[in-house]
Amino acid sequence: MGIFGSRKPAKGTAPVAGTPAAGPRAVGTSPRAAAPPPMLEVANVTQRFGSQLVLRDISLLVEEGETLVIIGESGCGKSVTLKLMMALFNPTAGRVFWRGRPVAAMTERQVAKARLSYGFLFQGAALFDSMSVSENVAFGLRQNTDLSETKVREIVRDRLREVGLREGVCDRKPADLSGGMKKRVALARALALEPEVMFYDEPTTGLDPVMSDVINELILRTKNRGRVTSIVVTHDMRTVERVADRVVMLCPAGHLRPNEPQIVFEGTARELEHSSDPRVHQFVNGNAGERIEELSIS
Amino acid sequence: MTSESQVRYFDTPFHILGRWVVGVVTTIGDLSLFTARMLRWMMVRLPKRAVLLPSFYQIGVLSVPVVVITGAFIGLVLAVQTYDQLHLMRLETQLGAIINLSLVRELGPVLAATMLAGRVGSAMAAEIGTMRVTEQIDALRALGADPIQYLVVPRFLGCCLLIPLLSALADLTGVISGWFIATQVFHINEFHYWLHSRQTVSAYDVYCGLLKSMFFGAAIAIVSCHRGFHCSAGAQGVGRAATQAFVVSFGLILVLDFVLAIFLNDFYYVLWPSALGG
Repeated sequence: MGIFGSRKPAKGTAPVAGTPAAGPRAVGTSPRAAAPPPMLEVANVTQRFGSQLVLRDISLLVEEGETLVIIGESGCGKSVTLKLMMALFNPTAGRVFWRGRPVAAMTERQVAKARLSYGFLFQGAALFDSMSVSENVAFGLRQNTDLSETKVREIVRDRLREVGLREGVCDRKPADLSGGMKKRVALARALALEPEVMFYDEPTTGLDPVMSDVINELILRTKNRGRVTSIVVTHDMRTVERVADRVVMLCPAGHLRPNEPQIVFEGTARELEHSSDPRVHQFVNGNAGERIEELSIS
Repeated sequence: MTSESQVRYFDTPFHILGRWVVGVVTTIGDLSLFTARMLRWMMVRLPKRAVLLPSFYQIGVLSVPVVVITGAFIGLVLAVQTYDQLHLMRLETQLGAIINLSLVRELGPVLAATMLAGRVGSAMAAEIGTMRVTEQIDALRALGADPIQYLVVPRFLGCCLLIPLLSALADLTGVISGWFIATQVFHINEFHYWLHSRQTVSAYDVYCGLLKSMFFGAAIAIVSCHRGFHCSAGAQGVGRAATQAFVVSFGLILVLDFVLAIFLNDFYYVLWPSALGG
């Protein structure tokens, strides 16, 4: 049985000790109590924006060093899940755990400090457009460390080199960069603080196939560079094939039947290709299926 | 349990009024929390000089031309409009008193703040709104910076400290332009022009004007940054945030001007009770 979607015990069964449903997490008798806590956990999370339900009771675990890829059609809540994991906002219901510690129980300052070990590559790169490339990459270092300017510049140069950018781009503004360069600068910025976990929000969206492959390679290199745990949200099946250790597919909450889990697939990339679920099959093969009928709505 | 399809929205006047009241109360509550968070950051840790100076430059230095032009034209218009009335009563030497008192006490601070709400406030709302829409605010948080401390505190300090200076500049240019029209165009006696000014305008009037402009600056910064932080997606959302920043700031400037005028007039008599006796 997979980890995803299995966190909530079935009706009529006793909660498993150590699970969120069982209450306190450190239960000595649980086999899980001896094991190190997972790097990240999302437990029974529901997220609404106004009257719109985006996530319905989803549970996820991410173990240290693995690369989890979250897929699903637009609007299914992939990016929201990623931002919830990063604690960029609080869930409507449910809890997020960082290394077994509930984020909701941490103070704002503790969250901000702990968040420094998490890097985030935003969908649109989210570079600060008033700053140059080098200022963007140096931002986290200047904000959170007492490193000398010489050391900061050295780290900036190294990170830019790692993502394949020359020193010549240092003084350029984000507006002067191509989409692929922006993504690479954003990755260099996220890596500057040497995070233990990297979040990638649609890292290859809007890029040509060659640049997409460069970004995929960078994700793999980042993972291998000190066993960085990675969570990737993507639509790109090539990215899934290249980087995923495990894959989770979400279905939009509005398309679900009552009590149907929002996570419709969990497994490896190979298992994904052979899934019997028509929704998964449709997504993997890029077939609209019965969704083509939406076009006839006038 | 109520499902999504069962939720219904009504549009009777009571429901519309109810939604409006809830919206207003929510916004005021949110604005208060936003201000409290900003004040807390000012106590905990001020931004670095490298963050403060660009904001100060944007708010202060780049606003100088707008403020100089505004101040100059207030002085010119006041002189032209008032001269005829005073000339009929043969009181034209009182022109200096009227121009300078109006300028330092009311028109200088209010009109300078209004211009700055348009120039600085709208720009702040649009800039922060664009940052929100393009996830730059999330990126700030992801990189260990608090968006309130990094974006709002420098702008608040810039507005509170520099808008009084800009108002003083508007006062000065208004006084000079008023003097120029009165003495060089209408040929009013310069000695009497300044004598009546000195007799009418006190240091208290100048301080009142500057104190008011400090409040106006605080209102512009808080409202504009708050609108930016609550900007909805898209170009329309950013445009709406910029417009709301100006409209709400302008409304608050007028309300604050009225409230502060009452308070400062009463405070004058607290400081100098003998002035009451005439």
